[in-house]
Parts: sequence; C-alpha cells; structure tokens
Amino acid sequence: MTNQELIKQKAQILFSQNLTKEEIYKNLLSEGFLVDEINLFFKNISTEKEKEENPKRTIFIILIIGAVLVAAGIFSFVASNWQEMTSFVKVSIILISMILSYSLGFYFQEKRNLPKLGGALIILGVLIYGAGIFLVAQIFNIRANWPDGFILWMVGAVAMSYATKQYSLIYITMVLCLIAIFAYPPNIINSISGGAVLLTSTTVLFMALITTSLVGFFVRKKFLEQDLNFY
Amino acid sequence: MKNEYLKIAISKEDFISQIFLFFAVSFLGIFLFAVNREIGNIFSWETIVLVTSIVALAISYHQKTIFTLAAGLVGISIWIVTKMSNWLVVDEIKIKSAAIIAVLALLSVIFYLFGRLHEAKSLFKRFSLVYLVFGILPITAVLLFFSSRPGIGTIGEMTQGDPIFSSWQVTVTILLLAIAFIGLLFYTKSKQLISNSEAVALVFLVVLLESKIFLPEQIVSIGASNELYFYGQEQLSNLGVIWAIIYNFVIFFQLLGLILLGYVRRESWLINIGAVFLFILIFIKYFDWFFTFLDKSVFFIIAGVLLFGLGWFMERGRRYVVSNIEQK
Repeated sequence: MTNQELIKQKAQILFSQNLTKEEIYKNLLSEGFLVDEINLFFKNISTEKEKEENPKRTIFIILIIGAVLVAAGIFSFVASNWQEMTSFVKVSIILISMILSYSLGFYFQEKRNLPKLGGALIILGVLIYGAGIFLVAQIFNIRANWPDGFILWMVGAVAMSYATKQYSLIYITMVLCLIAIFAYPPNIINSISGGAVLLTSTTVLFMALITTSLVGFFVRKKFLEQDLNFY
Repeated sequence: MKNEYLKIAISKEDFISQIFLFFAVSFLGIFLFAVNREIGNIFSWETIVLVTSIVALAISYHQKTIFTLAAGLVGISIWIVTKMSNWLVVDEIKIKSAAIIAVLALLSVIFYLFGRLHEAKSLFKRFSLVYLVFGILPITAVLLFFSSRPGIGTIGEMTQGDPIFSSWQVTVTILLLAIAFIGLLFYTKSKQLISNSEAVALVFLVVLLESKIFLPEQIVSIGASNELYFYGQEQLSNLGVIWAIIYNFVIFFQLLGLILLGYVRRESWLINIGAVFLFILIFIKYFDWFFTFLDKSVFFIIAGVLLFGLGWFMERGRRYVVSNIEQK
C-alpha cells in the first residue's frame, strides 16, 4: 500500500469523526506522514471535488439560461400584446406565471429530488417577480423612484432564497443591491430642484437597510459558529 | 493556515455575509442622505459620510469584516480631505492646498502603522492587510503623480497662497495627525513591529510631503503659467528640475524598498504591489520623456517592445522571488 493510500484510509476515518481540516492535518503529521504527502492528498481531494462539481455546474448553467429565455419570452409576449390586454389580464399573466414557476420549482426540488431543475424554476419565478414589479408600476402609473423597484425585488429574492435554501438567489440579490446602490444617489441629488425625495423611497431604503443587515448578520453568525478556528 | 489571511473571504458564507454587511452600510448612507433631504438638509453630506464610516468601522471590528473596514477607511479619508478643502478658504483668503496632500500623507502612514499594529494579533491579521494596502497605495500614487510633469506643475500650484496657520482648523488637523503618527511610530518601534529602515522611510516620506506646506511658492516652469501638462511645450525651471529629480528618485527607491520589504518579511503581496507600480512608473516615464521627441510610430513600436521585455522580466523575476519566499 502506498503512502497516499494510507493517508486516504486514515483521513476517511478522521473525516467520519467530523474533525476539521486542520485537526486532520495535525493528526496525520503526528502519525509520521510528511507535510508534502499530506498536501498532495488534500490537493488530490480538491481536484476530485472539482471534477465532480463541473458537470453539475454545467447543468445548472444550462437550466439558468433556459429560465432567462422563458422569462424573456413571457415578457416579450406581454409587451407585444400590451395594447390589446386589459390591466386584469396583464397582472393575471404575471401572477399565474410566477406562482406556476415557484410551485414547479418547489415540486422538483423537494418532491422529485431534482435540485438543479427546481432551483432554475425558482430563479425563473424570482425573475418574473422582479419584472412584474416594474410592469405593475407601469400599468397603474405608480409614482415612485425607479430604483425602489430593485429594492422590492431584492427583498423578495432574499425571502425566497431563505425559504428555498437556494444560494444562487443570493447572487441575484447582490446584483440588485449594486444597481440600487449606484442608482439612488443621482436620484437623491437630482431631487434638489424637485424638492424632497419621495417618502416612499425613504421607507424602501430603510427596508433595504434592514434586509441587508439581517442577511449579513444572520449568515455571519452561522459562519462564525462554523469557523471559530480561523477567528 | 499559511497566507490564509490574504484571502478576501475564506468561504462562501464569509463572502456573502461580508458583502451584505457592506451593502447594509451603503444603504445606511443613502438612507441618511434621503432622510436628510426630507427634513431640509439639516446636516452636511460630509457629516453623513462620517457617521456612515464610523458605523462601518464599528461593524468591522464587531463582526471581523474587511469589506466594511475598507469602506470605513475610504469614508473617513473622504471626510477629512473634503473638510480640509472647505477649510482652505477663509474670508476669501486662499490657503496653500499642499495641506491636503500633507493630510493625505499623514493618514496613509498612520494607516500603515495601524496595519503593522494589527499584525501582532492573528485575530486581526486580515485587518492588517487592509490597513497596509490603504497606507501604501495613496502614498505611492501621490509620489507617482509628483514625479510626472503635471505633478510637478501641481507642486507649483499647491504652494501658492497663505500659510496654513491662517486657518486654525487646518493647523489643528495637521498637528493632531502628526502627533498620532509620532505616537504610533514610537509605539510600533518599541514593540518591534517595524524595522529601523521602515521607520526611517516613513519619517522621510512624511517630511518630504509635509515640507510643501512650509515652502514659499515654487516656480516650477519657465513661462507665464506655473502649470505643466504632459504634452505641453512648457519648460521646467531649475527648481522644477530639482523637484523632478527628487520625486523620481524617491518613487523609484520607494518601489524598490517595497519589493525588498516584501522579500525580507516574506510577504509576496508586497512584492506584487511593488512590481505593478514599477511597471506603471516605467510606462509613465516613457510617455513623459519620449512622447514629444520621437516619431509617433517609432514611439509606439519601442513602447510595445519595451513592454514585452518588461513583462518577461517581471514574470521571471517576480516568480523567482515569490517562489523563493514560499520555499523558505
């Protein structure tokens, strides 16, 4: 048996005892293995992990592209038939497609054990929800600053991410946050001539502050509990 | 683990929590701006930046996040520099704007010393990196600028005006920062967190950049205007040539010093920063010296060939030094 196989055997036992990487490292060192050999073992593990992850990632990317295309299709349909449709039909299309997408996503993720497909459908639901915010604002001529829509979208995406444990939704919320952060200051500055900023914007901004703080502190708490060794 | 502190985030959760806390700080700032506007601009925007920065720093130390630390440091620097520029005009009297560079230089060296101070505790090692970067980058950028033609022109402009003592706010700010710098320098030296050569280099840089606030107006060009541009025909005066020589030497040796420091302290990121700035320096110098002398096609061909050579040298040299460090 080679040293690498021996390390693998020992490491598997240590991994099953839920020891941290550092503890396994120390344990292997005390067993008399060389640093280079242990490093090589950990390097091989991460390469194997990467090989396993790559096809999964490809599937997810394909599904995400699919979700984006479906969302684009729904909205191009609504946009091209804008004049012919009543407000009720427009809102119904948005709501039905969103609920359908979420339901299917939840079904595939939880009941059929197809997390990638389920996740992509949930992402589609979030995309429909976000675009729906802007469509509803346009249909009913709601007077608001346009970056408000991104914050409402972000809050919804965070709630959905928490409910469905979909990490990829967090990345969407990051993009939404960035858009809002860059878009708000010019809006506030431009409001010099027009008087105060709409009170709704201030409330929405407060909501963004609370939501991002909660996500930050909540995830941080979880992380600090896991990685106390580092800190 | 070795060099673990060099990572921006050590896991997905770490990254997400840090970025969301950063977003929270940004939204806090924007929210305060919006509320301030609603209530009729009672507070200045600088005050809101200061409050947000203090909150960012408090979150950083409480939650050990480096994104908010960086935001807090940038915010504090913006607040001080904008306050300084407001204080530079007193009763229509214009005070030497060199005071801004003096404050920026003092802030940078203070950040640098804070970085070395944080290095002592493994808990704050990542903080140390942020402070060090915010200490090194501004001062290097300022030196790089002053070593160029427009930079030397700016030296002329910055020394125009009344002495800093005409504004008590400017004087007190510089004095307080200088005291903080001296105190930190002695403390870090007494704890052996910085070497003698590092301390000497810091003092030298501070003296060089602070000296401008005490100097009379520097006439750096021959001509009516005391301004110099990259492609202009203005000639440097004797004084301008002296400043050009001083700053070119200082920036060159500062960058070499950074690379050497990285080698001595086994910090490859310092070598990388030094190498990147050395590359920028050579690029700027080439434009500065040869753009008006050479035919444009020859100029660009030589620039291309030089870049290939420089890239090859940097790749080999930098990799050699970094791998040497890793082996040791």
